[in-house]
Amino acid sequence: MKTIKLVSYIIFLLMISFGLQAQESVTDILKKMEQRMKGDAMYAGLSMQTIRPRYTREVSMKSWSLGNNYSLIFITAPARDKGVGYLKRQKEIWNYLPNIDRTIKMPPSMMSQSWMGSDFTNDDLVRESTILEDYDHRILAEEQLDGYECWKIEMIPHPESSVVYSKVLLWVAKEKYFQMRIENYDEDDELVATMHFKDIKMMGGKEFPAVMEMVPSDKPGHKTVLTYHLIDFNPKIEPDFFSIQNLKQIR
Amino acid sequence: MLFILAWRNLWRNKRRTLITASSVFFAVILALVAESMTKGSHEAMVSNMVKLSTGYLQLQDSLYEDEPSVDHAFMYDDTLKQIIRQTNGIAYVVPRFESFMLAATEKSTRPVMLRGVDFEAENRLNEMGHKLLAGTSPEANDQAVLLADGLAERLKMNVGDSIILVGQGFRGMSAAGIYPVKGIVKISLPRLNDQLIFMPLAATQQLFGAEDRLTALLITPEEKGQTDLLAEQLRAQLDPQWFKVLTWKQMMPTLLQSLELDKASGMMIIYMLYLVVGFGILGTVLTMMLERQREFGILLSVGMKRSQLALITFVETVFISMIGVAAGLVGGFPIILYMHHHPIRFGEEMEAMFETYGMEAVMPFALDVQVFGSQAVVVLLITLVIGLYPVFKVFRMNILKAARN
Repeated sequence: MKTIKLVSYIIFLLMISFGLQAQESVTDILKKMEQRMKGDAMYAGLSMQTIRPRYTREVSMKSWSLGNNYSLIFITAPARDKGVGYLKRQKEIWNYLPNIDRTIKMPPSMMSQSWMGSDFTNDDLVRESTILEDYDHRILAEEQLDGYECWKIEMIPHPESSVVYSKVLLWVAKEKYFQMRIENYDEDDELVATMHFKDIKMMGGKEFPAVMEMVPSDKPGHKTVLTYHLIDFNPKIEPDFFSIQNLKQIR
Repeated sequence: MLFILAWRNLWRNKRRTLITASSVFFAVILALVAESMTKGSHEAMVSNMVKLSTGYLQLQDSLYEDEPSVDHAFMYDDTLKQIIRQTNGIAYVVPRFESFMLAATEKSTRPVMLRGVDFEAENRLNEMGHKLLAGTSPEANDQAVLLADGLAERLKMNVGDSIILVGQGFRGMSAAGIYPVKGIVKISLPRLNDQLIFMPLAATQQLFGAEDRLTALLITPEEKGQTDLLAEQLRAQLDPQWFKVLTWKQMMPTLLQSLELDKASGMMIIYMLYLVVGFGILGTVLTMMLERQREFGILLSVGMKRSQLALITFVETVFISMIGVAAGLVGGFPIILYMHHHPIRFGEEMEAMFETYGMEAVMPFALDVQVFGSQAVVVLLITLVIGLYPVFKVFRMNILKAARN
């Protein structure tokens, strides 16, 4: 009798915890997604295609990053730009120019400028607002996107945050926890830009979207495509790897 | 017969005629000076602004106006050169490759405007060389820069120092270089003087990775008045999908507006002048009518027709005003000619103010046939209208009263 009581109690507890798991909170989803998309440290070989109505340009690069605050990018092609480096430390960007052997700190006036002619601005690289702290979020719907079951999450930035958008919609694949799509809206509730995450495959030991497309809404024919060729989620790097010294030396 | 009578009447009372004629004379001269002053200062303002900033006409890539980026630099190839060569009415062209960049020194980074130029053509447009403060202008194939003096001061740079320029090249390429400062130049527009760097065109194109490309081709017409016409001609020959031809009026709408406003207030002054002048002439005509009432009365009573007498008085007024206008033109011409070549210089306090508008501190006078023509016609018209008064008076005259007066 006593054992039956105990067993039913355990079953009851298990049911509650299963029930909770089925109703996973938005915060948990986002935490897992951040872990999935960024990890702690990451090394990647990638290329960036800037597509314009009149031309398409491709840049190849290597990138190292550590959390939200540190990243280092080294351009490998085309020949004219080979060796150019970008270093991000907290809110600052440094640019190394091999042909004049100088490192220049990006002044505020340059932050809104396009990064290497792409649809990303220098600001986009630095303004890593933390999804968990800077927004209020709620699940709007569950939708299918490119064959994946997704949560559609609405994120409204806190008034005091530095986020420039008034609303961000985010699609996260269920169980896999990677981003599928991001839509940014301005204060008039108009779509400013969309990011598509495509071509999901095994990279560095996990499933990961190998292609990211940035499509600004107000410029027809403009698009920037980032394609990951290889990713290592466990490179041995420390914060002091991200130094101006290293920016010049890294190859 | 009537004309001879009218002519003799004029010289019967020389003093009266001369007084009336001289009031017309002064009216013409005043109007001439006022108009030529407004026109002169406008011309100076336009040519100053145009020469220092946009040029009279600009040929650009069709997308450059909306988004002035080096990505929208057009190919200045042989086909285009051919079209320019074959279009009539072009005095010369000034090629430019312009972009914002960062100028870095040991301590600071500043946004600057880099203008790749053909120094010879540029000098022709705005005599830049005349304001060279130090050093020399770089040669066409030099890898060197010429700094505006306001910028040189801000960057604390001198001739012989090296400046680092960093920016975005053509279609996303990187653009960075170190260049020696070869000279320092004073630009009279303070806004430009604080941020402009000149570099030979070839070196600039190389820096941006945009060989043979220009952001703008400035075109100077042989006749400034033909600017709009020339723009039309060029538009007809160029593919609008790729090229845009802009006039200074389109590129500097605010300048045009301020000119219109100034013109309107200038017109107000001139109208007031006309009013004063008109009443002056009317006054002398009125006294003349009073003085000659008896004469007219007698003429009519001895059998002269009212219409004949009216015509005589009208012709008299016409003669007087023609004498006055002719004298005014003859007298006004040397004054304007002198002022045109020796404009009034303002004092030193005014000079600073003028400098902020990028102008020389002088009051220039326009020497324009049109000014002479229009002022002469307007004054003549005013006197003709006044000349109707005696006509009207003669027809309404009570012969008996007038003759007995």
